[in-house]
Amino acid sequence: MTTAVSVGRSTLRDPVAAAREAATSARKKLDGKAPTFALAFATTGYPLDTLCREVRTVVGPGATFGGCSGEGIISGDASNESNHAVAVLLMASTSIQVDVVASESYARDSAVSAKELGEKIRAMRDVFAVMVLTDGLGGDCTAFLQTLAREVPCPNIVGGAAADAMVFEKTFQFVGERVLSGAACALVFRGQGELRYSVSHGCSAIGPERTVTRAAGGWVQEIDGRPAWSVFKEYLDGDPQDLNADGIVHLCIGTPLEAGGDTSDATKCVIRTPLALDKATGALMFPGGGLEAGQRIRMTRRDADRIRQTAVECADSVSHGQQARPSAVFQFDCAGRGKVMFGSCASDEIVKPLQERMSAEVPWIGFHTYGEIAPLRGEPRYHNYTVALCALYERA
Amino acid sequence: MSEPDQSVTPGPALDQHAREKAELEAQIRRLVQTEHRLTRTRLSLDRQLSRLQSLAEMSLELARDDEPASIVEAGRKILLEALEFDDAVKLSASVGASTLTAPDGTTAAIDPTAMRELESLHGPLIVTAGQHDLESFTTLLAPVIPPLATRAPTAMVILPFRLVAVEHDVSCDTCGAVLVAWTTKTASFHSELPSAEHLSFLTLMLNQLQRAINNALLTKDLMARGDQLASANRQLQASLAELARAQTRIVKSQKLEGMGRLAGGLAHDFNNLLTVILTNAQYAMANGGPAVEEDLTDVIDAAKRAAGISRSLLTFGRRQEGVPVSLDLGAVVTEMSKMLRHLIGEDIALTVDVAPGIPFVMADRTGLEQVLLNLVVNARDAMPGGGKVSVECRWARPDDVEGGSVNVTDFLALSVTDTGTGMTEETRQKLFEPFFTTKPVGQGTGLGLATVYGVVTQANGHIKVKSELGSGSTFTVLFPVAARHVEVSRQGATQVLLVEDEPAIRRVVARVLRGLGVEPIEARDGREALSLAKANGVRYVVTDVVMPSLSGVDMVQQLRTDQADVKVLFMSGHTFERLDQGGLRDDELFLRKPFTSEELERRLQQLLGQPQKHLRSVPALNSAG
Repeated sequence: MTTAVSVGRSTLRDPVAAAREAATSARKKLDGKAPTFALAFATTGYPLDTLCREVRTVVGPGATFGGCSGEGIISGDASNESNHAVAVLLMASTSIQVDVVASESYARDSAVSAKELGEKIRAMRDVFAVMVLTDGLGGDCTAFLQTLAREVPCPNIVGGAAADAMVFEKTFQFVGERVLSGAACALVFRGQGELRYSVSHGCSAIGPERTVTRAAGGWVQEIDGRPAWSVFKEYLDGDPQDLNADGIVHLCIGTPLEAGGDTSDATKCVIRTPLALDKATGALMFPGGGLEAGQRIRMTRRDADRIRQTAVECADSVSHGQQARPSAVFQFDCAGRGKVMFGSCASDEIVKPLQERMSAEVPWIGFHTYGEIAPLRGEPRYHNYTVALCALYERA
Repeated sequence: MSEPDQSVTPGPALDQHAREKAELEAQIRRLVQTEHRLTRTRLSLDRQLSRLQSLAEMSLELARDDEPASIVEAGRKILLEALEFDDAVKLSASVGASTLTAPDGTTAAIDPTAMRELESLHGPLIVTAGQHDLESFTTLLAPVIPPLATRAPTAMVILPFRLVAVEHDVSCDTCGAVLVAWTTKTASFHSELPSAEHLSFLTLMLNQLQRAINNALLTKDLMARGDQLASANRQLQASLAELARAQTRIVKSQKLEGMGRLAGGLAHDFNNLLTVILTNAQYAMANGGPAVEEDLTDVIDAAKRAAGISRSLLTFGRRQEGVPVSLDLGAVVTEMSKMLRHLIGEDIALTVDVAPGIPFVMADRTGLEQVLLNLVVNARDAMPGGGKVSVECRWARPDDVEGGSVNVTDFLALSVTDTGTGMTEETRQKLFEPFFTTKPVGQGTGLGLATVYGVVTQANGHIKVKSELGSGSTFTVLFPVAARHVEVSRQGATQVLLVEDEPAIRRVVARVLRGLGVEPIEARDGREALSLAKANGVRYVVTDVVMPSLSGVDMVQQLRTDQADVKVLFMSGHTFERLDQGGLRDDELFLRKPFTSEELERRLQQLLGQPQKHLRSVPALNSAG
C-alpha cells in the first residue's frame, strides 16, 4: 500500500487550537509519513483564514491543500453541525497525486469558471477524478458542470457545494491557505487510483406533473402559471408565511433525468430544493441553476425510510466487487438531511449505517452541503437533498 | 326487439374519474400536510428532548461537582455544546476599579455606570438581536472579549455570580464575576435563537446554573467556615490543655516555692543556732583538753550533719548563695565523670557525651556539681540490677522544656538518662519536694532532687523529667548560656568594725578576730555601726547582711560616701542580692552562714591581708544530701 490516509477532527472554539488538534491528530495517524495532500472541511463559526493557516502550519508546505465550508462536517461515524467543527484529511501517497486548482469567477460566470479550470486540468496527466467544491449560494452549477464535462475528458466529476450555517449569506472555498468566496475549487486526482461514486436521494413524487412557467437567474417565479410558493403551500401544514426549515426538509421538486423523461418515478428524477422565498412575488430560489421556463417537474416529498435505505445502497454500490477497502471515503450530504431532518439522531441515520457497510476503519470525511455533485447517466449533475458517496481506491 | 344499448357514455365516466383523481390529489395533499405537521412536531419534540437531555446532563454534572469553578465550566460547556453558543467566557469584575478581566488576563476599564448596571444584575440576562441592550453590552464587553468587536452577536447571555466565597476574599473588591456567552449571525439555525421556546429553556437552564453556582459558593463558604471553626476549636483545645499544664506547673512551682520559704526560714534559724553550737564546741574543744574532746567531736559532727541538711534546705529554698560564674559545662562534666564511675559501681555503664563547640554556661560550680552528682546517684539507685546511665551535654531543644515560653537557643542542656525502673506519675509530681523519697528509711534524705531544683531555679535554669515505668527516666537540666567565659574572681583585703545583730555570732566573730590580733569595734546594727565608724574611722568592716532598721549593704554604702576604700566582709545565711546584681566588689568578701571557725578565720585573714595560718582540716558543711 503506497497510499496512507487519515482524518482528524476538532470542535474546539479557538480556530488555531481546533486546526492544530484536527491536523495533528491526522498527522499522528500517518505514522511519520509526510502528507502530500490535505483536505479540510469546517463550519463557519471559525475565522476560516486563521484556521486554514494553522492547518497549513501543521501539515507543512509539501502538501497540496483544498477544502470548503460546510453546514456541518462528517468524520468517522459522526456528523457534527455545530458552528465550530473542523475535519482534516491527510494523504501520504506515492501513487496518487491530488492537485488543487481554483477559479474565482464561479459566482460571476460559472461556465467561464469551468473553462478556466478545464484548461488547468487538461494540462495534467493521468487524471482519474475531479472533485469540485463550489460556492453554495452563487453561480450556476448546472452550467458549470456541463461546461466542465466538455472541457475535461474525465467522466468522474463529483463534489459538493460549500455551505454556511443555514443563514445563506456566504460560503467559502479553501485553496492552499487562501480562503475564497464565490469560487470553485477543484481537487484533481491523478495517478494510480479510482474514484467510485454513487448518489441517492430518497424522495417520492406526489401530485400531478407540473411545469415551470416563469424562471430567471435561479428563481422560479411561477409553476403552472401560479406563484411557485402557492404551489408549495398546498402541501404545507397551516398557512406558513415563510419558507422555514421544516418546509425545506419536507418538500422539494424532481426534474426528469432526460428531456421527456418520466417524472412520476422519483428515482428517475434529479431532486432540487428551494432555499429562499421572495415573499413579495412568491418566487422560490433554487440554487444550482438549470430550472428554466418549460421545465417539467413533479412535487416530491422526503421519505425518511427511503433516505436511509438508498444511502446504504450507495455504500454497497461504491464497494461492490472491490477486493480491498477503499483508501478513503468522501461523503457529500445535503444540509437538509442532517440535524434538521433527523434531529439528534442524524449521525445514526446517515453516517453510521454507511460506515457499517464499508468498515469503520476506512478514513471518512465529508460535509453537509448546499448541493451535491455526481454523474448520472454519464453526465455530472447538480443535485439537492442527496448523498453523493465517493470511494477512493488505489490501483496497481 | 332491439338489443339494449350497452355502450357507456364517456362523459360521466371521465367526470367520475376526474372527481376521483381530484379527491385522491386532495387526499395526498392532506396526507403530505399531515406529514409536514408530524415532521414539524417530531422536530420540535426532538429539540425539546435534546434540551431536556442537556438539562439532565447539566443537572447530573452539577450534582457531581460542588466546586464553583467546575460548575461554571459545566455551564459553559452546556452553552457551547448543547445550545451552540459561539463561545462563553468568565470575566472577573473588579467593582472598585471598574475593570473586567478575561481568563487570559486581558483587563479592560469599564465605564462606571455600565459597571454599576452589571453589578446590579441579580439573575441571568438574555439579550437578543434588535434590543438596544445587545448593542450596549457588545460595546461594553468588546474590549475584553475581542471576537465581539469583529462579529456582532445576535444574542448574548450574561450570568452574574460571586467570584469567590466571601470569607476568602472579603477584603478584595474583585468579588464579582459574569459568565458571558454569545452567539453570532453565523450561528446554526438549529438553535433557533431567539425563539420563545428556546428562550424559556435557556432561562430555565441559566437559573438552574446560577442557583448551582450560588449553592456551591455557599457550601464552600460554609465548609471554609466549618474548617475555620474546627481549626479554632483545635487551637482552643490545645490552649486549654496548655493552660491546664501551665496551671499544674504553677501550682507545683508555688507549692515548691512555699516549701522553699518554709524550709529556708527554718534552715536560717537553725544555721544561726548551729553556728553558735559549732564555734563554741570547736572553741571548747581547742581549750578544754582531751577530757572533753571525744564528746565535743560528736557534737561537732552532729552539728555539721545538721548544717548539711540545713544547707540543702537553703539551696532548695534558694537562700543558699551560689556564685554564678561562666563555666565550661562540658569540662565540669568530663572532670566529674571519673568520680561518677566510681560512685555508680561496676554494674552500671556510664557514658558521657559532650557536644563539641558548646559555649559556657552561667552557674555556680558547686551547685552544678551537686546537680550532676545527685542526678547520677538517683539514676544509680533506680537501677539496683545494673543498667546504663547516659550523661549528655548539648544545646537545648524545644522538647527539653515544658510550655513554649523558653527560648531554647539561650540554654545548654545537661541530661542524665537511666535505664532503671522509672517512676509513677504520682512520684513524678512530688519529685522535687524536700524530704520526699522512695528509698527505704535511712537510705535517703529526700533532699537530693530538692537541692537540684533549688540550684537550677537559682541559676535561672529549667528542669524537665521524662519517665516511663519499667523503661527509665531522663532528667534534663537547662543552664543559661554565659555571655563571656571569664571566671568571676574574688579578691581579698585587713582591721575591723564588727556589725551583727545576733549577740552569739557577734561574740564568736569577735573572739576569732581577737585571736588574729585585732580588737573589733562591735555594733549591734547598721545605724550604730555608722555612728561608730564615723567616730573611729575604721578601714575594715565585718557585717551581717540582714539586720533590722539598716541592712549591712546599705550601711556599707553610706559608710563609703565618707570612706571609699573601706574593705568589707559580708556574712549571711540569706540570699545575698549583691551577688545577683553583678557580684562582689574587689574590696568585698562574703562568708556564708553557717560557717566553721576555720572558715571564719580564713576569711578574716583574707580581709585583713594577713598570711594564712595552717588550719586543721574540717569537712565542708555543704555536703550533698
